[in-house]
Amino acid sequence: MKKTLLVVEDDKQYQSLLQSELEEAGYTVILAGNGAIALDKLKTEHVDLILLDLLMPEVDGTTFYYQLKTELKKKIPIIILTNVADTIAYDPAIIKAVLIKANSSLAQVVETVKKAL
Amino acid sequence: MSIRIKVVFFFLFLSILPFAIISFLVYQQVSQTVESTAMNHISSLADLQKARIQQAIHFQTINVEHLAGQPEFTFAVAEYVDSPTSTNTDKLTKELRNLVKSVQSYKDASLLNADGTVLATTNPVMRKKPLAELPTLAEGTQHTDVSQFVKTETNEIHQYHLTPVKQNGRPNIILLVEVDANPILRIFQDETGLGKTGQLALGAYNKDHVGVVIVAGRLNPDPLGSFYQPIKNPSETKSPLRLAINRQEKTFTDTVTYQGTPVISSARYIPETGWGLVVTQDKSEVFAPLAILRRQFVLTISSFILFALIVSSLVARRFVSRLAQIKDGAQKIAQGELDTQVPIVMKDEIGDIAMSFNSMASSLSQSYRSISEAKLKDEIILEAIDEAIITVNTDGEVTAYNKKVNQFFNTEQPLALLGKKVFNCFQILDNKHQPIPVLQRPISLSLNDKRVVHVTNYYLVSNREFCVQIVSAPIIINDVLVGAVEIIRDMTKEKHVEAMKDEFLSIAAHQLRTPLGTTRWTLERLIGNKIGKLSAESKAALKNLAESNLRLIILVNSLLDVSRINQNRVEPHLEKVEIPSLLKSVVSQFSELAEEHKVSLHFSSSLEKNYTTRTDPKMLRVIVENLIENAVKYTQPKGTVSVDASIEKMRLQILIADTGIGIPQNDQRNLFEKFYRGTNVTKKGIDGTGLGLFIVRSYLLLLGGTIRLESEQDKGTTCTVLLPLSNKEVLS
Repeated sequence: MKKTLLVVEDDKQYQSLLQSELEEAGYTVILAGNGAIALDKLKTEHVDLILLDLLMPEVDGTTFYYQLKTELKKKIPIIILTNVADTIAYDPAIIKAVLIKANSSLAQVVETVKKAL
Repeated sequence: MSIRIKVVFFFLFLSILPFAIISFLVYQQVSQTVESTAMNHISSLADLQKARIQQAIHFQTINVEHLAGQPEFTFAVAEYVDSPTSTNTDKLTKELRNLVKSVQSYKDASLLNADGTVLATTNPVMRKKPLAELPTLAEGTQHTDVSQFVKTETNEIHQYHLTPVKQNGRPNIILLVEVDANPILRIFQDETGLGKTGQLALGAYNKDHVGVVIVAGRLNPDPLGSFYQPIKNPSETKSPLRLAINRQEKTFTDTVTYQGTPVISSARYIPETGWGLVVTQDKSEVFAPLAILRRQFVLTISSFILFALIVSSLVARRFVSRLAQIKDGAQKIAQGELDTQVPIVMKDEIGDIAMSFNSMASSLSQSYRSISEAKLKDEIILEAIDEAIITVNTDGEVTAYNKKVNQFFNTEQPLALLGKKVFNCFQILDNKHQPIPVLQRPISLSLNDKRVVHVTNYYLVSNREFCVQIVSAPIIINDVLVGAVEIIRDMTKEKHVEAMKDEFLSIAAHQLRTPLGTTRWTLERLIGNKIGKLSAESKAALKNLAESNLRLIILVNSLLDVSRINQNRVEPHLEKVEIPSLLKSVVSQFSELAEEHKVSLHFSSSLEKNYTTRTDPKMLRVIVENLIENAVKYTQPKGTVSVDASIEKMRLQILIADTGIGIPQNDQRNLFEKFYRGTNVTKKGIDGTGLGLFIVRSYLLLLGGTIRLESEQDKGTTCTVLLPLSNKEVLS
């Protein structure tokens, strides 16, 4: 059964690159332009793993993370995929990995996703 | 004692002393002369009077002897002796009357037997007198005798002259003549040469051998009353009269009258009558000229003293007033009137002093002016300086500060910090916001260790808190610590600028990362033929592009690291790390690069395979990555880079040694500075950011580790990283 990944990312280029790569790797990819859209999607869709960008308009990654934890109370594993150097302390049970986009190859991203699932 | 009084005393002493000495000597001399003159005088008076008395007696004796030897008389006597008839008695009496008449002073004359019986007399009273009352001559006496004075009933003073009348072979018949004593007594009334107090006195021993006064001095209140009365003066050695009757023929200076008046006296003895004659004169009279002299001396000395006082006082006043002018000048200067000059009255020593004083005053004024100018200049500079400057004494009490300090308290009101302990004025926190104990404060270190202390990123807490940079230095003057100066720079703006810079850097880096990331991934997909099949040439070109892109990413990463380090935003997250596997993975990460550079890269380890210690794996990774990357980059083909891990002296030691181009000696010190690169590598055109070693050192600092470089140019470099082990590992 194909796993579904939610890519929360505002940058169109990243969206398309991640979508192409991950779909090629055999996943179903749902895209969300920011945290608010992602939260909406999560209400209707089943998601196995979330790839979360941090700096986004409207609802950013950090806010999304807390809302997911407190409002939806869903324990969906998350891989943070960002270009921001600093990260806050996340619950390691949920956050499986933190990757710096520029420092990681697509292969590494796919590998991490694989590991996290 | 003021100079004035001293000068006066000096003058007095100088003028009076010789005068007093001379006066004293003169006085001595004069008093001796006066004394000896007086002594000579009364001595010769005494001699004279003695001679006069003796002469008078002698004359009377001769006279009476002559009268007694007259043939008429001796014939009448002989007739009477042969037949003492009344006719012969009358004849004899007649002769006696003739005899009395022949001399004026003769009063009566009698003829006596040796036993005192009156044979004939001109005075019938004589016959009635008892024999004992009549003077007599001893049996066989051949010379004339002169009796003591006798007072008659009519208060006249008479004397008896007795002389034997010569009889051939018969018993003596004595002629007794009663004579008026006035011729002798008159001598005593002679005042010639006796002055006011000079006296003549006469004494004798009576038949009971008691010293009696015969004639008391003319000044005696009762000259006749003391007639043949005992001498009143009891002293044998001081009574002039007693000395005289004791036959002391001398002149005395220390005798006194019976009334106690000091006198000089000259004593003489008249053997004929056993009389003691004395001439006395009161010392007060004798030395009266001396008293005058004394008075004159006193007068002269007094006027001298007065004169000397006036003159010396004037002179002293003149000196002192000139000195006082200088003193007043000095006081004026002390009160701040620095342009004071004193008048130069005369060109003498005091004038010299005044001149020196004036030149001193003007140079003082000049230097004071230049000091005040310099001080003013310093003050202006101090106030213009953007740093707060506080000076303290050795007790840490504030001695001066500039207005900048006001800003620290956010007030325009003047601050009363002088004299306060600087430690109580504000608090200092270190770069971690921890309060610094008083003894550890920069100014304390300067005061206690006499060293310059420079700290930055500290915080000052007054009524607000802000970041400061502090430089404190001891103030040492002539090898003596007199205090310290603390220069405090408000770093708020710099801090803000720094923060903005770092924020900009991190935002910029983030913004850079986004396109770099999409470029990277796009290139990966292109090279991986995921977008379309590419020719070998295109692929190679894209690979180069990817590499460049990667280098840019690494540069941005480094910049971000540096900015995070600068913002103190980097904190080590310690966790258990398997050192050998971490190192192995880093080494393998560089195998590709090593191959490219044709450098052989080795890893060896004396650690156990799964040796674990607590450290920050990311930081350790960055450290080792940087060092290995450098080693590979700066080693020429066929060179070697070896990485070795071991435990040395209870620390984890990671050794990265290469056979590369080495680091020039001059560069080794600056190597860990931001953006610094070795001169030899820039010459050779080898890329690099100059950030790697800065990050390495910063991370090592955070992990408590150290790094040591040993390098020789063209031979190679060995970096030794030492990391502390937690207690547990040390024990095992």
